[in-house]
Amino acid sequence: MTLEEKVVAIVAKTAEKKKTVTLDTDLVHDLGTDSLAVLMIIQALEDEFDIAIPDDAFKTVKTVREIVAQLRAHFPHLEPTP
Amino acid sequence: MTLAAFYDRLRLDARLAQEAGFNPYYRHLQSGLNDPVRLDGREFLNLAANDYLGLAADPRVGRAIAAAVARYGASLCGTPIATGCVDLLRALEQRLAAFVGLEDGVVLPSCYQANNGLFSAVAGKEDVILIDHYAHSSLIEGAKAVGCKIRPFLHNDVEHLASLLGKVRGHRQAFVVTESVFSTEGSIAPLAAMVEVCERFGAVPVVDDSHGIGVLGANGRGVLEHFGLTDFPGIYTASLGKALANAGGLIAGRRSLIEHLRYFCPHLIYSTALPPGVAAGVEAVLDILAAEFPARRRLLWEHRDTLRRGLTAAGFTVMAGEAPINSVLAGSAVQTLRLARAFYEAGLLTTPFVYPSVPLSEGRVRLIAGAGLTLARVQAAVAALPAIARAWQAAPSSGVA
Ligand SMILES: Cc1ncc(COP(=O)(O)O)c(C=O)c1O
Repeated sequence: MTLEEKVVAIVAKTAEKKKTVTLDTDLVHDLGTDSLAVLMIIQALEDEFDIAIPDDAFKTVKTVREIVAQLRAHFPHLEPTP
Repeated sequence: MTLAAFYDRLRLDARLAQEAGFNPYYRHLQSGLNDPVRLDGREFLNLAANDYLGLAADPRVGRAIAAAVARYGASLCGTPIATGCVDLLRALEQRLAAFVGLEDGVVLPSCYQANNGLFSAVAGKEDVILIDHYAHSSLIEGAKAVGCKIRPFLHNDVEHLASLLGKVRGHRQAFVVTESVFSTEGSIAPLAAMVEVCERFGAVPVVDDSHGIGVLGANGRGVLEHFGLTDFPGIYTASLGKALANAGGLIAGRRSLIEHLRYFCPHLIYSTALPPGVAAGVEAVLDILAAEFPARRRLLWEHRDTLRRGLTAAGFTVMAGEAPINSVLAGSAVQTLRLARAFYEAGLLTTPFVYPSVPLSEGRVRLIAGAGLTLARVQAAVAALPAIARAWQAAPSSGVA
């Protein structure tokens, strides 16, 4: 599973309603993500990757793709370098 | 930094109300909750109040309050830890605890205050609080005030809760927080299953039964009676301002918990005690319930079903809740206020909920037909529903099927 696929799966799992999630899914507009839901996503990522995500890392994140980008920026070790 | 900039920042954005042509908030009633209620010089059927059993304007409750005021005056002008607590209030705390099936209780001036103060008094930074995603603001803010890790779980999802309890580690104590009845949709939390999961992991369940006390259970004793939880191991809170038709916030549970709160909950200790008249009002409601609950409950549910059938027939989408609440899905904030306006113009007072009280684009309008209303009045409201749906539909992009 790629990092992208893992993040998509985590966002889908923490959404209240069964919805199709893609990299372009907008958290607020498509999923209605509120502040507690953001917390749920962050904590699910922390559980999955065994990392501690800094409090403000996701402040400006709008789409699933941007979550992946932030994860890559903060935690380069999540993907083995080829 | 200027004063002008500060006040500028506080200025409200009036666009939503303008676009909907209606601001439903902070309307001032010109009467009590007798049917009809008066507002803006007109008469309304009140489907907005949480007066589930129709006792807020009951003359027997009013007389009990008047008698207590005659004896004790308006207020003791003191905090409970000082001399603000009258014998009547202490008796009420014990009676309420026994009513819901717990050892002891304490009453604060409101349940918002109770929920806000509870967590800081019993939890610390080394603990973890798992909380239902859709829990009431008072619970969320109270939990946040502790400064410990907060882990939201998916709404009413025991499996998700259990998986999170299995994952959290390194904490001293876990708390699991939920409401009994989620009042914006009318769903009931699977509390029995949640308590079981809590016991498996040694977590303390915390339930806010504000919309369950006086409503759920064969005798109106609330969610614990509803689920047959005779030995609830956790913390129970409830507002006395809904079915119990007065005001105040109960925290109940084991005696040691209540004793602890008496000395370590600043929201209790440093706030003027519930006035004696209000305590007497709640006592009177409990007396009435002992005799009249079955009949009032029957009416409450009949009204809910009558309204639900009417709403569905008129093309509205009613949320599938198990509580005596009808929530109509309306969509965006503007659509929600427009629907509340259509009800208002037809003489029906309702409660609109928009984000952040409910998820974005899941705005809804809540209707509660309390036992104080007659069937004829509820039927008259039902007769008006098709025209209300049409008026709402006439506004652009409504969600009526
Ligand atoms: C679930 C819930 N908890 C707490 C409160 C606050 O109770 P009170 O009005 O007694 O402050 C309310 C609503 O008012 C509520 O709906």
